[in-house]
Amino acid sequence: MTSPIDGVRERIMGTEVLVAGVPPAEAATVLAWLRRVERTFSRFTAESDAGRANSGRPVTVSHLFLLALADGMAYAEATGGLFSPWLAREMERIGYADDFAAMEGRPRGSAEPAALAGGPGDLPMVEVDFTRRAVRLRGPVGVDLGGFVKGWAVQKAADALREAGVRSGLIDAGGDLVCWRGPAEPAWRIGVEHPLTGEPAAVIEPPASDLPAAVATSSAVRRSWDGAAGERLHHIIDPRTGRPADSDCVQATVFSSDLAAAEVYAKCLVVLGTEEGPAWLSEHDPDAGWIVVDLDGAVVSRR
Amino acid sequence: MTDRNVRVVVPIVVISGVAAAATAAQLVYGQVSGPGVAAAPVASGPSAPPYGAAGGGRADTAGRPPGLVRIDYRLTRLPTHASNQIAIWIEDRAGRYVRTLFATSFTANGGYVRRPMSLPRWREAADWENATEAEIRAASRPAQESGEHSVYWDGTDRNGRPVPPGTYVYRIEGNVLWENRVLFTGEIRVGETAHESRARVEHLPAAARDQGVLLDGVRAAFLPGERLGPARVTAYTRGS
Repeated sequence: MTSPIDGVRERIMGTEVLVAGVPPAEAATVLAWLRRVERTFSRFTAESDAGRANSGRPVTVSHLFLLALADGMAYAEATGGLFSPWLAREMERIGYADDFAAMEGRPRGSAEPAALAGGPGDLPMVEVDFTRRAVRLRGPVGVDLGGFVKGWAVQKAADALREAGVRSGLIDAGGDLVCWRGPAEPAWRIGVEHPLTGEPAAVIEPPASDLPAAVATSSAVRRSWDGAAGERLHHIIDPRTGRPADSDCVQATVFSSDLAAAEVYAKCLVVLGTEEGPAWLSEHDPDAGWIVVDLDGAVVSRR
Repeated sequence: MTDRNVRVVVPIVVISGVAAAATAAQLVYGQVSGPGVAAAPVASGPSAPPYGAAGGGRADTAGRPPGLVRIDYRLTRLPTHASNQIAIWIEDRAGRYVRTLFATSFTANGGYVRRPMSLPRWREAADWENATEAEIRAASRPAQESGEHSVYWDGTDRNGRPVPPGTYVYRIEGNVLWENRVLFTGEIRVGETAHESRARVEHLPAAARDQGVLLDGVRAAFLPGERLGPARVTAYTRGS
């Protein structure tokens, strides 16, 4: 599935990051930026802003953390709660409590949410003071900006490079990517891997444009595992139930001009399914393209 | 969907204050970045030195650099005054300056006027007081946080011209405490085959050794044929 790529690679945020087509100093700057984002947002380290916030104590967080959190909360509102930045406890419950590469052989979690005890202290509550940069999470709630912030940070990096005059480039964080080019630069070719066969389900070449091309894929197959009760679990949580999404959509790819949006919308499609999802997306972002794969492996797209 | 399940996942969110804003350039570069920041290779500047003595030969027939040099190092920020300034640059084997890859923005943008002890070895080698605005923009970066870092040299000189194959010298200079510095120097072969090396360290003066470890693990690797160009890339999206 792979072909030779000229670029710089590094493992950051639990995935392989590729920066291609940009000057070396800019590539190094992008990688340094993404490492900083990882240190700030990782829920797997107690020292990160996310880790400290998830301790339940009142904490002061960085400006960077609040910027991404504000955007994540705005997407939560815009999607009517189909996307949520507050699913860290659910991720832990289903067993996704460490870097995925380090989970092999660990005890697996459960899909079923625990019942609330019902007391006031058991209600999940979030307090965010943007002026004082203060965050407090009370009760059974945790912040997880994981996949969202990866797309958000890659988009920021691409925006910064484009503002700085870099005419062509590609930043790929584990398959969620942004590329851009002018009319004179060669096209980037983006393959969409079929989740069941591993073969290309589609290959696209974004046209030269004033806007970047962002591509994000959410999959209920790629990061999945057997739970403690033998059920199949994956990391796309339906915020309406707290359980892994159980729609007929096993993979969704969204094309947009913003990777944070594409990341959110791809998750929403997996949550909603191959019928309701595309209809929902056409109302929320009529310009977005999509490819969905159902349980039988059938591919449907609008590009 | 029941009310109980909704309460499990959807928290009560109380927001106060106003979220501040930041541009992408401010976030990624740590500063406002105008057009031309990425002007590497530099469009104009002093004439490049003759590199023939470095090892003979020339860049490939397409005028492309023969590959990519990656320089890795571990930085440990020191909570002391006048510390943490670093510069990374390339010289040919005869000691002629080729290009600066990284310089902490305070010093790169004239901080040496206030602190003459900032990175004197690099400033002398690069004649930085006479660097063009484009050179300064291309090399200047915010101070890095502690951790493992890599910088890349694409085999071009300060004017963006490919250098011929040969042996080149990479150096990292860092201010440990005021005038106490550390200087790492290594050689890397740029040619048709891969090469790796580790840099040797000097403390300037020798007593700087006792002021803390700002830099260590400095090494370089030449990756033949690797480029940062956009040639026929196919990337795959597959779910993250």
